[in-house]
Amino acid sequence: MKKIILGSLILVLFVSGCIDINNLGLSNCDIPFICQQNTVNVTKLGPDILVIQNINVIPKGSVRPKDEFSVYFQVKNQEENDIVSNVRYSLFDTGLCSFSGGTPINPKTIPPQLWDDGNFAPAETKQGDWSFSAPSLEDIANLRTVCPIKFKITYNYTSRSQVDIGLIDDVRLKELQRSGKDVSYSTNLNIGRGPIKIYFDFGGTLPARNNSNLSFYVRVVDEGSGLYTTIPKGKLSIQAPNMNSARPFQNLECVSDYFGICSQNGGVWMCSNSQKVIPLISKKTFDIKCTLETPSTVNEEETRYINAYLPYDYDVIGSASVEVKP
Amino acid sequence: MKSLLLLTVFLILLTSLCINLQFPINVFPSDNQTNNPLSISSESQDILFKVDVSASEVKADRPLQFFFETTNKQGYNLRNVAVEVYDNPCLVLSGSTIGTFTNTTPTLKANQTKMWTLTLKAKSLEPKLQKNCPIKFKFSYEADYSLFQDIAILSEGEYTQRDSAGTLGDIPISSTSSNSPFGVGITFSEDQPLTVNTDSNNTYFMYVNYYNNGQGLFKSIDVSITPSANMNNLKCHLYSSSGNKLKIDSPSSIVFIRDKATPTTCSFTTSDVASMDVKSLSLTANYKYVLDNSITIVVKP
Repeated sequence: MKKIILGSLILVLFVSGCIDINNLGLSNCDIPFICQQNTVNVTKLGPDILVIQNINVIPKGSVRPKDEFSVYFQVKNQEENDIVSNVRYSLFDTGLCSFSGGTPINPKTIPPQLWDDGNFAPAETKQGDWSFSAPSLEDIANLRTVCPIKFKITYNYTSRSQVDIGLIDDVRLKELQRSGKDVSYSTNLNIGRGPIKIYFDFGGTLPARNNSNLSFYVRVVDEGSGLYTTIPKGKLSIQAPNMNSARPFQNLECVSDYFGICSQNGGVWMCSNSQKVIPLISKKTFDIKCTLETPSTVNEEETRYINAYLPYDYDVIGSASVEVKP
Repeated sequence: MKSLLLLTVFLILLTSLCINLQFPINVFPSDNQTNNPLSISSESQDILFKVDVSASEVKADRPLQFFFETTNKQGYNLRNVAVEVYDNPCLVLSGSTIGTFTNTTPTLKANQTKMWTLTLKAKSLEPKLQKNCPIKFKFSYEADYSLFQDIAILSEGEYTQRDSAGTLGDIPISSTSSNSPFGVGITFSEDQPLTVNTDSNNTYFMYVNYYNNGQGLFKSIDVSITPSANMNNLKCHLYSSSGNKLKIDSPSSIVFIRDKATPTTCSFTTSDVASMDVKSLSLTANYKYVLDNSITIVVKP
């Protein structure tokens, strides 16, 4: 009997070790924003756009003074749909070793050069192959040393996020409430690829009624390994497409100190931080409050979207180290 | 010892409910890994609506086919059977206009099935992100409802005699109605059979109770009541006299809260019958009923 109890306890301990805390219904609170009032289905693509992979030093192990060695690496565009443009490279630290040639050419020039035409096609991989000379015996004073090989790849990318909002007509809402049907709205937040992520949250419950004010919050978060500290003036754009010209949104306003007056252009309400730079503190902005005035009429129930865009430059760092033995 | 064993087994069961075993190989493909056709259906006692969509995922600018099937489950015709695609932010018929698409069949005959297809194109929407796009459907139709309710009137003498003999319950009083999402139940201020009452100052009351027996919503209900031949001076709240019938004043005056509406109260007197008279009151209605359903498709950039 004792064996059975002991066996059962071991089994409990063993099984409890397998529990994934993240899958205990807490997923909406895991995202770096306040816990959502509405049910939000978050689809988030990965944080990497360009990745440096397969960095290899040949010969492997150590080199002798004045020896030649090569560093090979691959840069891959993880984006499946978009061309990544304005891709530049720079070799900024080689220690006591010196660059002697290879492709892409002239990595030590300032400002960094464009890699080919600067474009990486969707899922394209390009290879780098740089040669270096180890320092002379005199340079290393007959002591073992390590050459760090550090380089960075800089690219332009635009962070994109989209959230859908449900709109409901007053009459329809009353009709559904009377019939006892569920009128909750489950929203979908789609966050595009890249290290800079834009999140949305709502200040009220959805669906929003026609002719009402819907408050929502936008937060920009740097989830990459690089450093992105400020959103320059005019770069963060928050947009609400009317989608139906007969029933347009009536107004869009975002915190005025940073955004100024929002305008409607080509059937899209747009706001950008035209007034001030927005800082990222601890890799995130404050919650930017915006208010959307819903259309005066809604065809029973409609789904609309709010989009946000942020073009930015981002660096990824590649590094290797080569031991030079006297 | 036994309780300790029981507690241990309980703990194992409790803990096992929370387990998320991470198998290295996906033994069973999950739904989001496939691009299976989607299918939804909505039905009431009258009709079955079915929608099949060719794929659960579609690339922008590619077509998506919808197969609609409507079956009349009744032995009589249904009118203005319509399917409306009313909230589809990601799909267009042609060009770039996002709108509603409706297909209406003026008459769907008894037990008839009608099928048709609709091809919509996934719109390329900014930003280029994978989207979960809701598509909402509204299925509506118009149908008739009828109810026949026996009204049994007994003279005072007959009532007393049957009451003494215990045969009041032997009087056949029936109520028949259509099998429909619209339901009506008629009750009276006194149990049937009723005794003769010709006093207009001391009338009987009849209550017309309305029910929504389906999952949809009524848009309009036009009700007519034809009193039985042994009823006199039938008056109902929010109904007006039209020939030998009472017609509801407004088709939108029956408002359902959950599945019930406020009953209509009617007053009436009876004919003076010699011993017993059983006649039928008829209630007919034509109604518009609306069912909702939705699916979500994934539009890839």
